[in-house]
Amino acid sequence: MEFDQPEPAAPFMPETRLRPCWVSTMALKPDMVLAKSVSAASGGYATMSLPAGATLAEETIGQMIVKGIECVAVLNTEPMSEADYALATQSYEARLGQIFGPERTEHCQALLDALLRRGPMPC
Amino acid sequence: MLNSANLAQEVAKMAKKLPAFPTIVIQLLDMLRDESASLEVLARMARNDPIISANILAQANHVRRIHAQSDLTDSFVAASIIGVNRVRRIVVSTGMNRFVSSVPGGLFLFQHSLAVAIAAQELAALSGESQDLAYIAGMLHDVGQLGLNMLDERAFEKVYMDSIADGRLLLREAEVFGVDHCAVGAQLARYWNLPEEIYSAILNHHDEETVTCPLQAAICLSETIVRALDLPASPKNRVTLINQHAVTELGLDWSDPDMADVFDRCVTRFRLASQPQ
Repeated sequence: MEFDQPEPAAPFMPETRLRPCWVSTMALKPDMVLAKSVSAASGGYATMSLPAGATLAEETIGQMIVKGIECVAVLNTEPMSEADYALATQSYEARLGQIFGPERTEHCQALLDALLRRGPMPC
Repeated sequence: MLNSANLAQEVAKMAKKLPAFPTIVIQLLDMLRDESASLEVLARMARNDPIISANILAQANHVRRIHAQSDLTDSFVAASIIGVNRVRRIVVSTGMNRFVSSVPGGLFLFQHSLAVAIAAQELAALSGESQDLAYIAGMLHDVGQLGLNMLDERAFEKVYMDSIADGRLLLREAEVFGVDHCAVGAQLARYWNLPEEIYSAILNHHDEETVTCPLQAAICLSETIVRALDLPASPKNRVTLINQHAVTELGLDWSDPDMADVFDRCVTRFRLASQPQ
């Protein structure tokens, strides 16, 4: 039964396969949709504020580049298949196991847990 | 053998044999102290350097091609398209790439430094520190490895390879050369008259016990983060210790959703920045 299942360890990212894609502003294209709000400031003043859900136009992309915004989160419109993401996750977790090694301090374990909850990049 | 008594003198000799440290990076550091320094001044400075100028044009034209626009040939117009912050990153990364490319292993060192610079900038943004200084310190943090490599290329390579499994790089460097790459890098920073915070960040970037300033904390943790994210991919990447004082100093919480975004942003930005222009 679904409601008998325990709460996920990371409620903010319940399905990492479907999480937004981070895209460099240099590679943004019109009609992409922001998955997270974007803001820029200069000299203590807000110079740009776009809400999540905004559809990007060419002019907006140009402004983001000029204002030094490096990358933004956009909706993941073509998610990997479950099977492909499961394979990517397997390989990602194996690599993290090598990087962190078998004996971990408490602090290293905390970072490893965060990376495991995040999962591999979905895009 | 190097030691604390002869380090300054020996590093000064070493610095003369290294490729010329990019003057433009020093000029950029000076400009960062002047908040009113404009894109025009920066673009004019970059215009005198054909490689930096070409990189600015390449990035601006990349954007224009996405939007089906014709290529530009004027680097000032190009700089105005990509903005002052991106021009600064191009100046620093191009300068460092040229600086390290002439030595063996220079490509990996450059890519590792680039990854640390990106992560440091992301951590600085999260904790309200100077993003520009963090980026520059990240690019320079391992510059001492160039110096040791120059002293004895074979010995340095052996020390490096032997340390992959157990992470005892600093101890081995000190055994073979007298001091480690952190001390040599910091002394090089002093020789080039770089800011004190950068000196401290380079000197203590492997210190897992103490924090000397927020910049050092950012560089120390960035080193850990890029290894954890396998940027650049390498069998040498290991995470065995974390400077928890640095985590506290920057107010980070690994389980915070913002950290997951930082990890994704680091990977995304590194993938783009490490592509050949």
